[in-house]
Amino acid sequence: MEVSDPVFPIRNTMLSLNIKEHKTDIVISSYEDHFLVIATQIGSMGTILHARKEEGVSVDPTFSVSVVFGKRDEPMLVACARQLIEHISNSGLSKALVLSLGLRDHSTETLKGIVTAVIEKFAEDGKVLRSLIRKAILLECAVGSEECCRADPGDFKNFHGRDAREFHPITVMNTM
Amino acid sequence: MANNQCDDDDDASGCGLQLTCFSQPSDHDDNVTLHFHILRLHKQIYAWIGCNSAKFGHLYAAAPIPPSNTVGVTSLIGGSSDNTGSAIARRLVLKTGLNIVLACNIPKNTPILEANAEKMLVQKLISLGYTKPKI
Repeated sequence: MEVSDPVFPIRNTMLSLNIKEHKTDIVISSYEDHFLVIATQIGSMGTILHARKEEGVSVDPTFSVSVVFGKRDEPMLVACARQLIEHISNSGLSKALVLSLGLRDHSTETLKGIVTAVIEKFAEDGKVLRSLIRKAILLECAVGSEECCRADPGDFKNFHGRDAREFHPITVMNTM
Repeated sequence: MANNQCDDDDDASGCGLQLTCFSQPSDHDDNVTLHFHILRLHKQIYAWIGCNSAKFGHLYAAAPIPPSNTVGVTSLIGGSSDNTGSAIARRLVLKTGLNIVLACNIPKNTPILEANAEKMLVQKLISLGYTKPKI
């Protein structure tokens, strides 16, 4: 469920699902340079992890994941953050991730459920964003035809000499 | 302002989330817009303060230390040489009695802006009923 005011600079999504019969509330907030994902079953943020892609010259990306608050001896939590940051990176985004997990158990099933739900939500939001970017590009395009703008803006290709990354979501929404 | 809640009265643990987002120009500088993002969990509040941008900023955690009235604050992300926000986190614990996780991108060495942001945030927390009643 999208809950943000369109002019507020942070895009928020809230969802609630049952994982192993425990109600799990998830909030995903998209900041300019970070995603914040909070998944809680216990009414608090629990363990907080920070994950980011390392800058490097290698073709294969490397990621840094660390526990900044809470349980430091639960490798499954680190694995969860690692999966999510890899997905973010593979989507072409350079944002870091702050992941908060307040869970009743740290079983594989629970963490898989959270990762799946979050990735599905990212994919949905990505489709909405690409659609908005495409519309913004059409508005800017002198020809005004979708034929001119076939390339997927998610690839950040140049459209008529302009980089699609110029179309920040807020700019996109303001042009609608 | 967007105010949304995701409550579940059937859950015995009381897991319920209330999300509030709002923006306001600074009282001292019309060129500065302060953005606030407040998430109320059952036993905790997460808040973000943005100054003219949507960058995440530094992250702090603060909690009351029983049995005394003291508050412990720690920097989780960033904040090692710039503690803007840590004092806000500490005072939020005193006002709410809850554990606080605060993210803040207010520039360092701007005490007036910091005070202004804290005042707006506290006023909002009071209006939402998140603060402790005054005895």
